[in-house]
Amino acid sequence: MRFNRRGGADRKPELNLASMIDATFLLLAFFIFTTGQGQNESKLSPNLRVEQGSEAKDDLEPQVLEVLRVDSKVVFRLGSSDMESREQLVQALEALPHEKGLFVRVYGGVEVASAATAIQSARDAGFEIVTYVPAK
Amino acid sequence: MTPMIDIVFQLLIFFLVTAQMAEQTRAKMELPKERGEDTTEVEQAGLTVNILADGSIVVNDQTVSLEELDTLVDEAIRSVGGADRLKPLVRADRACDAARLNEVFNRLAARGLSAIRLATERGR
Repeated sequence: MRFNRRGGADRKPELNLASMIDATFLLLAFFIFTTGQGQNESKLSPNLRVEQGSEAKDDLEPQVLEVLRVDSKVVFRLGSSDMESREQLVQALEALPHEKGLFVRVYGGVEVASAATAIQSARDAGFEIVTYVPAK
Repeated sequence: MTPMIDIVFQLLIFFLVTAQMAEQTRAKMELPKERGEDTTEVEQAGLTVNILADGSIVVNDQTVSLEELDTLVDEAIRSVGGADRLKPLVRADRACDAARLNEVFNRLAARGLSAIRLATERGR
């Protein structure tokens, strides 16, 4: 480390810490910022809460909404009726009794977005309990 | 003083570059665009499972297999003191095949987790 020796041997060496403090504060700010970013990922809101289960053991006559792909189109199947739009789906779900809850079974070949649409539609239709049943 | 400033700047550049790399390796995903539930409180999930568009599973910035996911879930359950206390959040890319989501849900259910939250983002 070089010290300023100008001014004679009797003068005390000076150490200018300003630059180091600047850099340290920059690092501090950096860590504070990145730590805050990391925490945001695990915040729960917004989200769609679903129960996990099997309709066979929970209910003898469950109300099941199936999400599957038919002829390259995503279809929401409720009983014997197939729907393609969210509006149709919400309307059909509103007509069902809500106290039993709803089971949502999503098949492979369908995007997660469609699964989320089905769950959101059930919520919008007033279902408090929505159970997600992974299709085999 | 000059070498010390040099070292400090070297450190600064190092952290900036590694942060950039972390940004690039961070899971780039687009969540389903849904309103979600009307919850005002912001809670911590305890366990966040990311499923990317290609089906890979990322937990704590690490790509994991389904078997490794089991281990992480067990650790999370132990840390919160029971499966009923854990509120796992599944962040799945909206373009991901639901078959992968089903696999993850089955794994979580097998560890005794009965309620799972599917992350969405506002946009509708």
